[in-house]
Amino acid sequence: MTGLRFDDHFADPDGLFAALAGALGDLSAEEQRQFTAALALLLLNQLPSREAALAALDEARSVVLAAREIPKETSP
Amino acid sequence: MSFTYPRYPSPPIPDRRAVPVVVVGGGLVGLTLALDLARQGVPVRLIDDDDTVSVGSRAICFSKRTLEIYDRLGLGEKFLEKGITWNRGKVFFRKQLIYEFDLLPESGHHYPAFVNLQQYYAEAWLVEACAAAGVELYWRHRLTGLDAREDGVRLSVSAPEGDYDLEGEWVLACDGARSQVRECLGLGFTGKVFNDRFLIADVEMEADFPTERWFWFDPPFHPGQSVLLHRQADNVWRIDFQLGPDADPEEERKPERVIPRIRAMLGARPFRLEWVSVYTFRCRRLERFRHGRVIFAGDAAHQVSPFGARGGNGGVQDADNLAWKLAALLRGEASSTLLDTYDAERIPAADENILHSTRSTDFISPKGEAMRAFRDATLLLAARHPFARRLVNSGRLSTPAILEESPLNDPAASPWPGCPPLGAPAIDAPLTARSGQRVWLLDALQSGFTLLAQGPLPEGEREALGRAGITAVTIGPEGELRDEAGLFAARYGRVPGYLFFRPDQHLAGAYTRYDRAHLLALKRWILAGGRLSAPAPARAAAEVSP
Repeated sequence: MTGLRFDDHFADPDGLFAALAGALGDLSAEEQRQFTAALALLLLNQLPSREAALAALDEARSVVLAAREIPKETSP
Repeated sequence: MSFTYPRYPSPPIPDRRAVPVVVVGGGLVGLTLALDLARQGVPVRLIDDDDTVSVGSRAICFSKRTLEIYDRLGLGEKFLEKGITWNRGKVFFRKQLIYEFDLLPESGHHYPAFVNLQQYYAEAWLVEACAAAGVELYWRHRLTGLDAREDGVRLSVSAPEGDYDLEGEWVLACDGARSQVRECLGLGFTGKVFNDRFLIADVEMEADFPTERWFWFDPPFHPGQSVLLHRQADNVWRIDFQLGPDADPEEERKPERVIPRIRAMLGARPFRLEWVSVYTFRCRRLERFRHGRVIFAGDAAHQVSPFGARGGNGGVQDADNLAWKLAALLRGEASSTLLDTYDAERIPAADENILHSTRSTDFISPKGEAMRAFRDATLLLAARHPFARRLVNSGRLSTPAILEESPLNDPAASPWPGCPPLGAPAIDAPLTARSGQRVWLLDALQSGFTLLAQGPLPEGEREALGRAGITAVTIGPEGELRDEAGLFAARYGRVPGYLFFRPDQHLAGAYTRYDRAHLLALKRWILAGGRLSAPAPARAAAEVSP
């Protein structure tokens, strides 16, 4: 709805991150690692093709590697 | 120019010991509620254990809806003049900007998404306005006991001159998170307590940063934690440092601990430390806000984390919701069942605030290494992938409650496509009066039941509605207000229709056919407590399809 300065596109509007937090909630550290790996594999299996799965793996890797390059300035 | 804290005189023990309404607590919410009631002719006495406004900047982000409420109370322009207007925010991960947002990406509103202002300014203006409106302000009169009965409430009060008893027909508990009223009634909270400690440092400095909300996750100048930067009036900047659960609050508020943190962030820029506070927070509420003749509002009723600016803004909306209902009851126009709708409307609003506040806090303070890994991965992805930006949560900023399940919404209404949902607060729009003067839609609504008619009303109907306490405002080429910019039509739908607003400017009914008898019955039904008292009035004839 217009005029209510409501940006529906941020701050977890669907509660997905909250659901993730809830799913991890009472697991031990080791179980959380297993959960994370299991989740990644389950989601990989949901992708429509082998090519899409490989592209997702590539992109995930490149996002993580790019973080190495984030500048380390110290003032705003 | 910096703020000088006023010292308000403590009046002697009053001779008159029985009053219709006692507000306990002279903070933002108590003063707002007292002012709203007094402007509606209700005699109000306010007691507070202190003799000045709140110390430190505290709630600084006043939302659009709060500003509109203060506009109705005659204070809105002061916020615009003194405060810092902002609509935009930026989110950083380490040193990288990953996301920007605009909370009001359209023009044609009197008030912006937010105005930042130290709470003490707002309270000082409210005290002045309360005094002018006839609110009896009893500073340094402290509540020590309370006996709530079915027909009234006896309060035990301690004043500098001695102790005395006070009788109130209604007591409004606005005495904050450590509410003495709540203590006296033995009421507990349900909700969540967070262990992470945060440091607020208000610093005065000259800086050319844009007037935006900046939030950092894991910045190089404060590794592993979060930082929030906001500008306030008088060149004061709020910096909010996450400290973690193990921080020692006494140590962390010492200048020798605070100043190096700020230096790491600001570099060599000179600054003056104005106020420091270390806090933890809770996301919780009372099970019910109304307890017979004692009604809770603001932090006394519900508490949230500061991420989202939902504390003060939620409390002001409580006041807005309660004042017209209690005033109508005291004028003999409403049933006490109407007060039960305060719970029905404000508890869901509090739950919404608690939900968003809890989610923000869980994102900002991830519990465990796996959650932190997911959080950081979300932030990394957000810089390149829009889907991940939806998950980034540095605080979902306060929006007005839409009372969609309200028992005061007319089930016989027939809102059309493009019409705001029933229960929504009025959306502002620029209009033009017959004189050519530019006016705002919300100016036309003010504090009573109002019918907005898109088009002319039949002869004599305006007067007939007026006799029943409903103000009619016509909008259109032949109306008293013209929609030259087309924004009213864009925001309310391009259908000739009739919009019925409550005194707090929330929409209770929308119709495509005018039916005076129904509007009068609807007003009576609302004042009786709506669906909590009786089935809604039926309409005489079918609606015309838009």
